[in-house]
Amino acid sequence: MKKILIVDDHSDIRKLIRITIGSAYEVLEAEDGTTALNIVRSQQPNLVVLDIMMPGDLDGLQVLDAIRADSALRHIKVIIVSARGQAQDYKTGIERGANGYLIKPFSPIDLVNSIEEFLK
Amino acid sequence: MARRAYEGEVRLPGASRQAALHDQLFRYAEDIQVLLGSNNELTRRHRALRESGESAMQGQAALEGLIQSTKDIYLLTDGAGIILQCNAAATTFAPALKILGSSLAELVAASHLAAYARLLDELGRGAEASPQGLELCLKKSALPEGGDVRFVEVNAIPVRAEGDLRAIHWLIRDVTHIREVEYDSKIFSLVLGSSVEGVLITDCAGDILAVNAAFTRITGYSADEVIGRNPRLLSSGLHDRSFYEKMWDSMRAEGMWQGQIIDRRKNGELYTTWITLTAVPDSEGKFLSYIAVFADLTRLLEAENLLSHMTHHDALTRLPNRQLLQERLQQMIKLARHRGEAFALLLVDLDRLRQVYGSFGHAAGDLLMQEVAGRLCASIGEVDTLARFPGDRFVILAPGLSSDADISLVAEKLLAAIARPLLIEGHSPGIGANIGCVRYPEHGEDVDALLEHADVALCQAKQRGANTRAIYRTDGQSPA
Repeated sequence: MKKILIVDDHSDIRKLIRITIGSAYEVLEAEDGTTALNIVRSQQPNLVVLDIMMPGDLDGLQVLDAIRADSALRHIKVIIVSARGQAQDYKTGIERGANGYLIKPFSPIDLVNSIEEFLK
Repeated sequence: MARRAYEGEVRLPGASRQAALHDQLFRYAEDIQVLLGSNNELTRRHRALRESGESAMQGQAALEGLIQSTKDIYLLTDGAGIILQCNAAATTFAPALKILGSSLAELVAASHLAAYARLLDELGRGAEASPQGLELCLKKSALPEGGDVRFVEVNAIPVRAEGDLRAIHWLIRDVTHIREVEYDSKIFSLVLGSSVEGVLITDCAGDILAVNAAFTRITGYSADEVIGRNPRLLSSGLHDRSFYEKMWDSMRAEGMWQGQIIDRRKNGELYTTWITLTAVPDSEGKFLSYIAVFADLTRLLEAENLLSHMTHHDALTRLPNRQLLQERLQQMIKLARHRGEAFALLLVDLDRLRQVYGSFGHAAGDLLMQEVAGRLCASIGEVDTLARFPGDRFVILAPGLSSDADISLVAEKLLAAIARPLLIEGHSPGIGANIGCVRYPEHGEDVDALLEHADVALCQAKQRGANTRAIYRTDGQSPA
């Protein structure tokens, strides 16, 4: 079963995403960047749903950089889910290596469609 | 509309988190509405599907109606050919009660049982369908009239479940009529081809559709030259308009006409035919086409003429024979009596001819006879008749010859002609003749009397020696 890691400091949002993804995937959760990167390295999920603005040492973009910098992790798909909705934010996310970029509040249908597309 | 959190919007940390959640929940609600909407769409589609399912059901009913009403036979059998279902058309072979539950094999004519068994075997082994255009013979034995065999085209569609043959749909079309027409036309073309009579078929407009080999033999026209043309091209021009009008009147009234027509061959030659014209009506009585069957009478007439010639002429010299001479003599007597005229009859008897046959053979004898006939023919007048009599005799009828002097002159001329030297196959047989002469009406007024008295005169001439002639005398005096 494919694994998806949800990274968001807001537990209710994580819960919403988990419900949205459903039971077709094994779902992992992390509430900050450092935890997220540890789980990515240890569990090698197929896809990461990544919030940008998080408290702690690593924000979402730094986690993304770390994944893209590691040849063992580079293949992992990353969908950014962020409240930052400016065009520049979107551009930055994609340039740093994100596969998708959803703006909060995101459409659950868009999220499901993106996940299904990247894990095809 | 979803509220969006913009960068720079000032929120308290706790309030901000709560607001983000609300926003996201609100967004979820929006999507749920969309999903509900699409659920409605699905419901609508489902309903449409169910309705189309109903129309499919109606389609099936229509199909069953079609199967029941078609003239083709429909049977459903199990894999072994036991009939489970049939349509109305099948009952032309046997009542439905007899058909259902019986084996299709019982309907197959004995001649086609092997083919039927082979088909079942092939279907049993997994064949997709019956071979294209497979034909069987079915018998109507189950019906009271019995014995009627129908040619049918069979389409068998197997139904399988888990690879096993469970059932067979049979679509059976009666093609007997087509086969009969084909058979008829085969026979027809055979008959046409071999017929000695010319056959010409036209459409209702009179354009030629087909001709047979005899047509070509008689007219000289090939099929290619006449097809699409009007039979008028054979017209000799010898028959007038009323002749053809009568012909067509008869065609319209009775659908046929028979008669003698003189037509013209491709090479321009005229020929006489005995022709039978028949109109071919369709089922409503409208003329579809015309068929002309004709025999070339020319040959027949020639043969008849030849026969007549043979019975009236001598085969060796080609001169009129005794029979024809007697007929002509009869006519001449009638004519002379009517006109009060006289004529002479000369009976020529050849000498020493028997010796020629004896010494030089028959061929030489025949040549001699032909030579003499030629000489006599050249010596008589245009209106005179020369005939050969049995044995070595010739008879000359000379109308207008009446005086003893004229008769004697002609007789002398004939004797001279016969006595001229002749060479037959290197031999020079000297032959001579005697001539007995009679005159009508003086020496006889009928055929028998004249011939009899000519014979008497001939005897008198013979008594005088070779190459002499005598005129019959009624007074018992010696002949002139």
